[in-house]
Amino acid sequence: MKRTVLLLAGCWGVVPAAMAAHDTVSALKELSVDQLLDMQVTSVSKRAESLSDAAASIYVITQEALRRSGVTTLPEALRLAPNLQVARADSVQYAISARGFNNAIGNKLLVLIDGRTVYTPLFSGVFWDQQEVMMQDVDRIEVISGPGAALWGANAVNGVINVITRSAADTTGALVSALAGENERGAALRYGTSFGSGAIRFYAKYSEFDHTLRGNNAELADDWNRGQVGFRADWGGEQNSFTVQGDAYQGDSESRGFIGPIELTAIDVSGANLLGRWRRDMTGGGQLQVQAYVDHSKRDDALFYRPTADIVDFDLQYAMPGTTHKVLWGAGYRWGRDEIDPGFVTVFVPDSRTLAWGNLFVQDEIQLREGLKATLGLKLESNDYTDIEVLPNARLAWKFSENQLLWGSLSRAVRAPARYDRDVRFPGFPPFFVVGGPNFVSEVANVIEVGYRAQPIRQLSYSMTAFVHFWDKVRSGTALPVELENKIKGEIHGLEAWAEYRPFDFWSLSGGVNIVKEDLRLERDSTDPVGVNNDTLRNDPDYIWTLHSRFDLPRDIKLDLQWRRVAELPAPVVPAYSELDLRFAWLFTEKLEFSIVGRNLLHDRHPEYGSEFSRSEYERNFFGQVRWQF
Amino acid sequence: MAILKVMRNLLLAALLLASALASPSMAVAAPSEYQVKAVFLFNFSRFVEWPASAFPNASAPFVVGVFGHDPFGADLDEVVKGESVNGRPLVVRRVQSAAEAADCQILFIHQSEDKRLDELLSALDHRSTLTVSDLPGAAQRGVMIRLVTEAGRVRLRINVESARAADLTISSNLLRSAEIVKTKSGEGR
Repeated sequence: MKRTVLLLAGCWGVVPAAMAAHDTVSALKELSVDQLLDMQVTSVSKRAESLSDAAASIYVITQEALRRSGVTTLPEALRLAPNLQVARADSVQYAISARGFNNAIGNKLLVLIDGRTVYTPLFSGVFWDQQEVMMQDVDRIEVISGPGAALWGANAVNGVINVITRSAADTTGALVSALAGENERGAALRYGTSFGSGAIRFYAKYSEFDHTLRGNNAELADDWNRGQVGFRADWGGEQNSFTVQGDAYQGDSESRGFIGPIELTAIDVSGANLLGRWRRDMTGGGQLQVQAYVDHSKRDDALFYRPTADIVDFDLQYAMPGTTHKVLWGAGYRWGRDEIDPGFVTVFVPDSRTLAWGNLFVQDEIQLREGLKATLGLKLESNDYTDIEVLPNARLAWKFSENQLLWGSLSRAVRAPARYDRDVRFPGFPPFFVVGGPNFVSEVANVIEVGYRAQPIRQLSYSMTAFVHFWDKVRSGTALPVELENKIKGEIHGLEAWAEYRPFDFWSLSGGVNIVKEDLRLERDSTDPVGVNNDTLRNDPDYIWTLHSRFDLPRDIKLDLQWRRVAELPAPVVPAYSELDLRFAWLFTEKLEFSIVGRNLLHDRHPEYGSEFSRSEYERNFFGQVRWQF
Repeated sequence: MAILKVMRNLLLAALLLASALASPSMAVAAPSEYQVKAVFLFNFSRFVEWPASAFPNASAPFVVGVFGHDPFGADLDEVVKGESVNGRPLVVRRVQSAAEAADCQILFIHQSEDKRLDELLSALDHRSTLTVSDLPGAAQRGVMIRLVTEAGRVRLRINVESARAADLTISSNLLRSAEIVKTKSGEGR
C-alpha cells in the first residue's frame, strides 16, 4: 500500500528519537498481557509508528470493527468513521465526504484501495456503486480527514481514505460467507494457500440489492446485482517483498424504463485492474518502494453518460534512513485515456481525451528536540489543464507527555480540473444550458488544523481536531447559458472528535461528533443564478453524532449496537434523523459464526439524500449471515 | 464575522485541550512487531507451568529457542537478560534441528518455517515444549500459541488441547485475553 497512514504517521509522528532498543523492551516488559495486546506495533513500514503519534485527524476502522458492525459494502463501512459524512443516495449510490461539500458526485475526497486510486482523475469523483471489496479480507480502512495533498497529491483536499487488504499470508484457508435478508442477499468465497516464500488468495463475491421506494411508495428502478473476482499474492524474503493483485467486476441495475421516447436501459458497470508492488529494505536502512498498476473501467448509464476509462499509474518512493532528519521522497506518473458516449443528461466534447499527470514530492521530518517534531512536505504535481500545482504542508507535533499529543498543521491543497469541469455539456443534445469552462482552474483550499489526542487511562482514549478550510475558486457558473467557472469562495470550519472507552474487557463504547459550519459565497462579479445553496455543490448536515456499543456476552455471543444522529440537510431539505443498527452474532465453533443484523431499526423508512420527489427511502430491514472458515 | 466564528471555535478547541488532564501512563512509543513478540515469549515463561520432566536436571537453564529464521535480532536476548524462571536462568538458543528444539522449554517458529512445521511438531510430540509461531494457521496445525498481527496489534490464538497434551498448564490470565483454537480435525497429527 502506497504511503499508508502508518507510514504517514511515521512521517508526522512524534516519539523520542531513536529510542534505544533496550529502553523499549524493558518498558514493554513492565506491561501486563492486556496492555501488551493493546500495543500498536510497526509491521507495514519501517517508518510506521503508533497511531497516537500521527499529527493528523486519522481514524482507523479495524477488521474487528468491520466484522462486528455487519457491514457488507464499502460505503456502509465508512459510516464507522466519525470523521466522514455518509449519505445514501439510492440502493447502491452514496454521497460521501469529509468536512463539507458532500454531494452525489463528491470530488474533494481521495479514495485508494491497496494503493490504487478509485477516485477517478478523469471525472473527479468516486463511483461508489463500482467499488466492491471482500470485507473479510480488509485489514483496516484508514480515514484521514483534512488535506493530504503534500503526500497524496491533488484531490486529497478534504480527506484521504486508504482501504488496505490483508497480506495473502494472513488469509490462507477457505472462507465462505453468505447473507440473505429482506433487502439484500450475497455470498463470498475466498481460498488462500501458501507457496514457497509467500502466499496467494483468490476470492469471488456476489451481491444483490433490492430496489428502494420513494416517499409516495413508488418503486425506484435501482435494483442492483454485482459480482467481483480477484486475487492477491505476496511473497519475498528479508530484503525484498512483492505483491501482485488484481480484481475484475461487473454490475448492473434493472432496466429503468423510458423518458419520453428515450429508453433508459440498465446501468451497466464493469472493470478490471492489476497492480504490482516491490518493496526493498536497503542494507543502509533505507526503504524503496515501487508500484505500478493498470485500471480499466466502463460505465454504461444512458441517463448520465457512458464513459470508458483506462489508467496506467507508476509510483516510486524512497524513505531515507536518519534520526534527526527523516527524509521521504518520491515521484509518480499517471496516464489516463477515456472515451465518453453521451447520455440523456450530458455529453462530453471532445468525446475522448488522453491526460497525463506527473508528480515529485519530498518530505522531511525533523526532530527539533525530544517530543517536538516538525514535518515539512512539498509536492509538485503537473496536469494537462493547470500545469504545475504546488502543494505544501507544514506540521508540528508536540508530545508533551507519554500519552498526550498536541499537533497543528498548515496546508495548501487543490482539487484539480477534470474532464467534467472543462468538457461537459448539459443536456446530452443541443441547445446546451450548461457547458464546461475552458478557463476552469483548480479549486484551492488553504487549511489550518489543530488537534489533540490523549489516552489518560488505559481504558479511555480520545481525539479532537478543529479545522478551518479557506476555500477559493470553487466551481460556480455564469448566467444562462451556464459556463463553469471558479467564483465561489468562503470558509468551512468545524470540529471532529471521538473517544473510545472500554470500562470492562467485555464492553466497549465509542462515540464521535462531526460538526461542519459552512460560510460560502459567490464572488461579487459572479453571475451564477443558483448561488451556493444547491446540492451539486454541497448539501451537508451541521452535525453527525455516533455512538457504538460492543458487548462480548457469555457463550461466545457478541452484541453490537450502532446509533447515529444526522442533522437536517438544508437544500434540498432532508429531515434530521436518528437510526440504530444492531448485530447479534454467535460463534458456534471457532470456525462457524451465525449473525443477525437489523438496520434502521428506529423508523419504518427514512431518506438520507436528495429532493423529496425523487429520493430513495431506506427501510427497517434484517438479514442473517453465516461465515464459515475451514 | 466568519473569521470571528472560526476563532471562537478554535478557542473553544484550545480550551478543551487545556482542560483535558491526563495521568502519566505506561505507554511505550512504537515498538517493532518483533520487540512485542519477544516480550510475549518472555511473558509465556511466567504464565505457563512446565512439569519437572521438561528439564534434564535441577540446574538446567530455561531455554527459549528460535527455530530456523531468527527475526528478533538482539531484542530477544535483551528481553531475557538477567531473568530467571523458578531459579533457572533464562537463555536464548538459535536451533536448526528438531533434536535441538526438543531441549527448549519455549520454541518460537518463524512464519517462514511453513514447510518444516509439521515434521517439527511430530518430533516434539510428547515433549513439554511450548510451541509458539506467527505462521498463519499454525494453531490449527498444533502449535500451542499463534501470534497474530491484526490491525497493527499482536493477538494470541491458543490451542489449549495441544498444550495439555504436552503436559503444560496455561494460566487463565493468558487464556482470558486469547482466542481459543482447536487442532483442525483430519489434518496432521
